[in-house]
Amino acid sequence: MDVVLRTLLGALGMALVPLVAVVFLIWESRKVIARMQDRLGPTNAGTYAGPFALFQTVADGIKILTKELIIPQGADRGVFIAAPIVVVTVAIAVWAVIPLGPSGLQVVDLDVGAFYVVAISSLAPFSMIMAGWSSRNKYAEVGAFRAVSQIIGYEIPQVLSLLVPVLLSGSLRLQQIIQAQSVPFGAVVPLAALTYFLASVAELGRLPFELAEADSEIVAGYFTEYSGMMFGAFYLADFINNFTASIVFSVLFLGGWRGPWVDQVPLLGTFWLLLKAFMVFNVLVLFWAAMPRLRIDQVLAFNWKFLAPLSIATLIVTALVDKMLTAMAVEPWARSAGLLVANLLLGVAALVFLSIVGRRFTRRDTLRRPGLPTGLPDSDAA
Amino acid sequence: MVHPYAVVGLFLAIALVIGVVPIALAWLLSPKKLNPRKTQVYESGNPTFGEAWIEYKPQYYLYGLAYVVFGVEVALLFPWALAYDQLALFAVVEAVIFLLILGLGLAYVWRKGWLAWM
Amino acid sequence: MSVGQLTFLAFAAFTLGAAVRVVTHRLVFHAALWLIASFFGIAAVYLLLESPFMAGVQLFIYIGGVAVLTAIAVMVTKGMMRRDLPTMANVRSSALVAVSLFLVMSWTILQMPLPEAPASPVFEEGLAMLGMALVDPRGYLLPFEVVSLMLLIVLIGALYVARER
Repeated sequence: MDVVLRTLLGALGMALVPLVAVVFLIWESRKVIARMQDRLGPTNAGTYAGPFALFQTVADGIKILTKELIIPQGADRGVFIAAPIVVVTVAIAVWAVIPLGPSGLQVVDLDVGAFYVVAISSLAPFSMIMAGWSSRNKYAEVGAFRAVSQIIGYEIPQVLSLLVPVLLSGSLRLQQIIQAQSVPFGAVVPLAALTYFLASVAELGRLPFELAEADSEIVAGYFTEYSGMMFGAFYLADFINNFTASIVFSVLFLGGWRGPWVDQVPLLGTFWLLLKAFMVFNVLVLFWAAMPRLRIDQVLAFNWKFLAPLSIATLIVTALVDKMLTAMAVEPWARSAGLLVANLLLGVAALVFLSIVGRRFTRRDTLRRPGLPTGLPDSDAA
Repeated sequence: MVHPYAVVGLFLAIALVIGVVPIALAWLLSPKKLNPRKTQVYESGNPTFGEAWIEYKPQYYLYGLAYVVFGVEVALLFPWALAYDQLALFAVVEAVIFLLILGLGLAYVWRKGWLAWM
Repeated sequence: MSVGQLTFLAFAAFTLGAAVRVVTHRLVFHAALWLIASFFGIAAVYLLLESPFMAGVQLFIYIGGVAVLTAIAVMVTKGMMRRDLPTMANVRSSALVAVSLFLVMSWTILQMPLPEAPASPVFEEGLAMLGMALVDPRGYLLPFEVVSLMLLIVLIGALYVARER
């Protein structure tokens, strides 16, 4: 009984971590974006909302709770209401395996931890379909299709890149993956880290892949018809996913809770992990603040013609190089260095390939008729 | 010792509760003054016409299909990745062949221009 | 009845109930949702069989892929959204096919000797062992590579059919 109670409290505590973190993170991202746009963001001009308006998010949450929940006529009520619930549930469900610290700060250290993360993330697209379909709105349905195409497409390079740390550490258990990173995998296989990161950005629907919510194009995409807290649920789930993705990336490629003096003070591990996740999260925020939006065909082309083949190549190269290096029984540092070199070479090859293909595209796009403006700083545009 | 899967199930239940609570709270706290104008489906101010269906485009279905195809491949690679440490180079090459078959298939399709819609 | 058996029965009943709803629901989209529910039930059964990997594959491929495909197919087909579709047009013949299939399968399964206890101990490194077996020439190497070929054929075939002319 005592064990059950402790487990219950632990699970409850862990489930509340993303919620509490998000309150802070929403405020923080609004401040950062505001500064990048040369304005102030949430301040205390007006109603007081805590020091530096820290509790702005709480105030917004309370406001959104009291907004009327409008269900469009003809909509499928059950599915319509279920969609935001599913989105939030899935977002929180991933946290069952997140290792916040070296020992015990984890709900369950599943043997298949990494695969659990993958499996739970793959439940997200269907909630979008539910939202889009039940709204009985053409914009919402189109938005749902585009968002789903994007999300399921980018799952492939994401999982393929995730296989690289699994390969190198020989386990799906997240704690094991962390412990195998005497050198963070991001430094050993930077290409895999990069492809995982880019795929995650697309999975999250962050700019430049922000099709699902393209404000100026299809209103609000698949959640056009949602108002009040149901919209708030999508928004909340979006930020929770951002935070989760940052933490998962830190666990997989940045060494998780590893850092100086963790052996002496285990709690410091939590601090290191949160710090790394925070830095990754801010990279995502900067993407949001600074990048333009890609078109749906660009997004999908980038995935299937570049990122997926690249992640396949990365996995193949890493597997082969690592096996050959271990077969030659070299020192561990030489192994890491060898993998790093292989990754960098592959990255350079990918960039070269991109530039070749890109040049062909540019030449194809411009009509080869003299006199027509090409928009390029070309010398052959009359 | 609580069985790990039971804990996962418990956690999922908690996650579900967290999902439901805000909606339930909002339903309690929000006004309910519905009128026909509010519940109209949104179409930039114009009343909707026609049923909400969209044109058939094979593209959307094909993305799902591509996901399933590559998903099966990736799923089969998970056990291989776990056994990697104990495998000989030959075994790794076999898995590479596995990956290359599909990878080259993708390249072939790309060259043929069938990916043009992507 | 142990807790394990009770849990299994509960999930099995849930899965079967969801499956029934799949074929009886008037609205095709709801049928797709019940299909997902039955997939969840099957995933739970896999967990009870101590195979978290298979459970994850259910979620990853069946719910994340097959169910999404089905939903997309439903949504882009005109007239699928209506509630007045004939639910069971050929009740008798379809029931005949389903029942005979069930009888054949049950007979085949019952022919096998049912194990009284778990046949072999559940290995902790089960998944790694599966991985080794997959690339073992005396193991499942051939099916492994053939699967890749099959996937290739599916991909090329589908894209060929849908190519722009």
